[in-house]
Amino acid sequence: MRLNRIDVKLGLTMITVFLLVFAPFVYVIDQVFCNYYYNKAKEEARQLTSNYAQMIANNQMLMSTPMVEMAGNITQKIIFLLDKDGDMIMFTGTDDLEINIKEFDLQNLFEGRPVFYEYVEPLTDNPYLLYGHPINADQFKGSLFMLFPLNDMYDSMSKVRQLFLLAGVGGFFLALGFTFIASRKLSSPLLEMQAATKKIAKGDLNTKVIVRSKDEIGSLAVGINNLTQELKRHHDTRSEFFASISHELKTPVSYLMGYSEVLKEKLYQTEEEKEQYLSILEHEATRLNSLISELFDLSKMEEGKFEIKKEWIDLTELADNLDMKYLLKAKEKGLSFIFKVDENISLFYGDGKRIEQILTNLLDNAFRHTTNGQVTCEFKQGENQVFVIVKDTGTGIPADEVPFIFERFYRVEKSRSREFGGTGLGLAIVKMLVKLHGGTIEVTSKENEGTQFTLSFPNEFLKKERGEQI
Amino acid sequence: MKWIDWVIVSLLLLIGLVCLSMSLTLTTDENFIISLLKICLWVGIPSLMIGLIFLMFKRK
Repeated sequence: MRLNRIDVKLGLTMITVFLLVFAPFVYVIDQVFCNYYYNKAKEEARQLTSNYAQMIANNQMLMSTPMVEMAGNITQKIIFLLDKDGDMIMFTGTDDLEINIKEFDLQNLFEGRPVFYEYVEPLTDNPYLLYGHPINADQFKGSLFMLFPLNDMYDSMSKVRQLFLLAGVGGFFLALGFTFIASRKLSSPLLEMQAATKKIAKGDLNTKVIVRSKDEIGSLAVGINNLTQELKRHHDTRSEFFASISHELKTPVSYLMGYSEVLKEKLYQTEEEKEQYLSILEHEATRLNSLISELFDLSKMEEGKFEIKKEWIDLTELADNLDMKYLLKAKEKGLSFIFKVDENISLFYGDGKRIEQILTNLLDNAFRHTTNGQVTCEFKQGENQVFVIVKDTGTGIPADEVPFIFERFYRVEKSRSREFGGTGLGLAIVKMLVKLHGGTIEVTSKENEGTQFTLSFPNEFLKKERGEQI
Repeated sequence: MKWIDWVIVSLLLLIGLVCLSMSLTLTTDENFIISLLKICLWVGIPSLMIGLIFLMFKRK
């Protein structure tokens, strides 16, 4: 059995606690029990000796002596009587009993004080409880002694002690059995989790821990399951990322290689055709360039090395520029484009270029996925925030895909068709840029009804007016 | 818990109960089986009560 296990440690702790409580308890019970009987015997001896001594003192000593002797024989108590000089005048014991009373005790009796002690008979080594009482009428006449054998009491005590010990051993085994169950039951979820985490560490990301309770251990199991899911998703995303990046880089490079080969080998027939190929080459080179730039920006953002240059921006001016740019695009696609700006919109503290990039990415996406209806962009002044809302009546995003749209290269349109274009990095960059501006982004979408992105930025202008540090 | 664990637990509990019953039998005039049943009852009643309280809390 391995000792370095949680259930063994738990079991040993429980048993140790049990013994720590049980050992002093047993000691106290033993002492209480023994002292109770010893004191009872002592009190009985005192009472009896005192009564006999009183009886002898009240009657004539010589008359009472035979009565006491008879009582001693009947009750099988060893009684002896000493006269005032210390000579034995009556003894109910046998001859093999040697009695030695110390001078000091005789002196005490002479002075009227009873004596009491445990007397060990020198010939047999048997213990007795010796009680001596002075016999006083008008003056000291002698003393009465009684010997109570302790052997029987000690034997009884020893027997009871053995039975107590047997019961204690029984109790200990019961405690051991229940401790065994408790320690196994309490530690089994932990051991299961340990085994599961070992499997997860080895790469088996489909491992799941069974959640058996709603306590801290249950929430730990839920945590492990969530972490495993997250790890699996990251693992899958990473593989997908490499596949995506290879695909996204390979496509323009293939175009570039193919069309440059055509041009080099002069495989075109007309000058117009050549111009068309050159235009494709330029488009693909631009696409490749923007993809690389976006990847570079994103990696810098994720590493925390991307810096934004904040300044006070007039959002109305930004809205005018974007309105002009996208009205033309809307006209081309037969869509209506509405740009609303609150009249009381405050100045915005941010990186103008990056805010424009955020809006461009969102609006590009909105136009890309909307075939009829309208695209709306709104700058709204909140109490403590500035809201930017980009809304379209496009194809929308399925509910189960919404949580993943901000991931790199994640596409709702899985075929990676070039019909929609884009690098697949736009929303990931938007999220990072919003975060760098201290804002949040929320998305609500319904399939075939449209999508709405709500960006919320802290109103730094309000802070400036209050004189707070920005 | 594996079956071997249950065997160990059963043995421990059995030894415990037998020791307690022996102790009781030697101090009283009772039959060993009666003593054993009485002790089982004293183990069973608290276990039942604790179990019921546990179930009550679990349901809540």
